Amino acid sequence: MEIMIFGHLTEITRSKSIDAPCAKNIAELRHNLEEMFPGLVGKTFVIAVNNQLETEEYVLSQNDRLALLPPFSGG
Amino acid sequence: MENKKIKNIFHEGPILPTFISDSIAKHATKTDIGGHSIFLGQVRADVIDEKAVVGIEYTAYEEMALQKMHDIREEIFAKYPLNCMHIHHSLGFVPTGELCLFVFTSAPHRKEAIRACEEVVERIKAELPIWGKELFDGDGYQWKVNV
Repeated sequence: MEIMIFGHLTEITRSKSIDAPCAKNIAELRHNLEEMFPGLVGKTFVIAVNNQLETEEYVLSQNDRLALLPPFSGG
Repeated sequence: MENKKIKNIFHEGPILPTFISDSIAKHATKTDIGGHSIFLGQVRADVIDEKAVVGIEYTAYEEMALQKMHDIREEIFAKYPLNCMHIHHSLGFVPTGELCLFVFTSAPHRKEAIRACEEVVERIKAELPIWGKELFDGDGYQWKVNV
């Protein structure tokens, strides 16, 4: 699953886009990402699915557009 | 009625005062407006650990931010009797002292314009996926945190 990365999280992943193993829901995806990038453990971030913030139980599909978002700081 | 098309709010670099004055001038023909409210966000020269901030580099998840801003716009128009609302946010580098956010609401009466403007500003800061990186004089940076 391709995942877009934003803000300071790009310094942990060292890329603005990563490929992660398929996950059935957001909780599993979060777990997989923390195994791939231990620097993410303890960091605050949300996962957007198709431009919406979803709960940890949200069931993922192959074509979902996924993004890792740290706390917002616009304005 | 407000146009339902998703509008672009992003500007590369600072928002210029002349852009703002031109935007105000364009409302002279809308004579049912009785009050405008304008918020201007300016980049502050904070000093952190004796290092001065020289500007902020903004990035965004643009597609999501524009969709979210569209949703907020619809909700604000449903909540307040506004004539119009204009939002502009910088991307890229904005030096200290220059403007990074311009929110402009207009209504037949002042209270609605003021309340809508404040609510839009707060929602932009809390809900739009935009990130600021504060660049220090010389080198180094820190990621901005909204309070």
